[in-house]
Amino acid sequence: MTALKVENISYTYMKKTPFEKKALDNVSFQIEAGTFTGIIGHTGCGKSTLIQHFNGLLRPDSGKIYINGKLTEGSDVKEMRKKVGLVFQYPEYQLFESTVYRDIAFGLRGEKLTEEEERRRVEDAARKTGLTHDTLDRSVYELSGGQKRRVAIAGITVMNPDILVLDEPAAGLDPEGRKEILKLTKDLCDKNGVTVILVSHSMEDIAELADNIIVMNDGGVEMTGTPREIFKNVKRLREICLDVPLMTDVFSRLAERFPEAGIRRDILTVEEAACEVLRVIDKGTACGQAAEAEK
Amino acid sequence: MKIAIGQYVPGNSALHKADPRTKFILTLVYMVAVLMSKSYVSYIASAALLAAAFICAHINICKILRSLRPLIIMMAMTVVLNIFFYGGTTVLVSFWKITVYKESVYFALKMLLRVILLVLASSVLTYTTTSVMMTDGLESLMSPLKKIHFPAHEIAMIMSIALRFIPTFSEETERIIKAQTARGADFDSKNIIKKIKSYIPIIVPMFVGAWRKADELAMAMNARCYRGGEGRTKYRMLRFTYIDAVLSVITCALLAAVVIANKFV
Repeated sequence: MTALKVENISYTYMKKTPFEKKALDNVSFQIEAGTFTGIIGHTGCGKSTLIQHFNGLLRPDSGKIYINGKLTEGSDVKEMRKKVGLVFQYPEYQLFESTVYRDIAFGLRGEKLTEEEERRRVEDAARKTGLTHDTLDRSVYELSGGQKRRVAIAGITVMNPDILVLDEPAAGLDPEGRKEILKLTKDLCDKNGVTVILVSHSMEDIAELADNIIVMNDGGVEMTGTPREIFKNVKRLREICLDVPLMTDVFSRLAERFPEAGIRRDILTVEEAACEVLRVIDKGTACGQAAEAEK
Repeated sequence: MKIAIGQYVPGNSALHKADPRTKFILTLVYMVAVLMSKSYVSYIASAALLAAAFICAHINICKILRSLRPLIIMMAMTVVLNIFFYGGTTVLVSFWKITVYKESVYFALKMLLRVILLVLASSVLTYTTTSVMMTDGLESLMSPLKKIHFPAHEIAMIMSIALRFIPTFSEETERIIKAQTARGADFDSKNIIKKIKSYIPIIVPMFVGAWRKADELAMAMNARCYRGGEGRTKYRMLRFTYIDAVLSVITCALLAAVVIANKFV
């Protein structure tokens, strides 16, 4: 099933002023339900503008947006916001309540739930985002950066959106926090069946997590495809100020340097790279066997 | 393009280049001249000078006049009150209990002209002076007061920091509004109490953010060894040039002309 379909949308900022800027130009793509999609593009390419269209914060000047196969109109933005959760950059700056519990529950205010039902939903969201039970009664401002971010994400997931859009969720966190937050997004997709859309500047993260990638450039979609398909186009990606994952770069260079070794050029992650190294050294051994042999 | 009152319009004219202190003082001189004006001749002279200033600064007068729109109510009040309450001797129209005199109409027109000229005169200053130059100029003008322990530098610093952060905060407000909207916040409630309450999710993060920024800024200033104004030199030196001399002569001439006109016309 198609979770999100965008058809020829265009959007211009500050229309009819000298500051007029076309942020989106005829953008079309679709995203299947339950998949993990990465959106990449260099700064100012229209990523942030695009994701704000997904839940109706911005309305396109022209074009159509379908959510779960249903065309969205200007009048049902509230419905859109329930279906599509949007986590902005640095979401911890939007926290305001006295306790973590109350902050997470903020998104449920409009739903008129009973107290038990509300508690169940909040605890469920906390569990999904890896917050322990005792954090719920603490003040938001006592928590670490990574924890605050989890609370902010829980504040969105509590509304049980079908689609979760995250803008640079790992920005500004320490390496451990980064890993945890990214794993959290992956878990939300794999274990809870949420369609996740992740905007990131890190090619490594995207390569590791995403099933599909949408590459944006200058307000338009440059290409779409699986990470392996996308990161083959090293030259084009560099032309539009993007890059390929480090391992892809290293291995395509190695392949060029040692053509006789038969090194794969489409390596994406460190794990794949390790397997490939073992395979080439230990010619003919499949990666799985190599790993087992190691054990 | 819309121009708001008080906005800076970038340019490279003589008025833009003039020393902010000159502009500040001359604006005051000009205002005095307008306030002293009695005859139409004086008003026309003042208006002509102002028009010349706008032309010199390459600012479209029509757009400027349009920017006065928010003040229309105030101007209308000025006119109406003066027409009905100023009094006079020559009756123009009379109906029911209200009499409108010829003198009061003239006076109302003069008052309207006065308000417009005063507002536009101060806007010439803001149109051609960046906020940084303005605070630099004010600091320099207030510096004699340092002798009596008036914190001129500190006040100027506070002003420039405040001005610097206005765009930052407006951006941040917009961001937080969007983020809370995405979390299901509803700002369209008709109920006034609910409406006020609905702004708490914006105000609290704004305050927290402001404190955080203040802390960070203080630390950054400390790290650069900022310790107040004493012995501090400036990157932008304020210097009087021939432009300032010319502007001063013209404006003072206007003031003199107004004074003389008051005596003889």
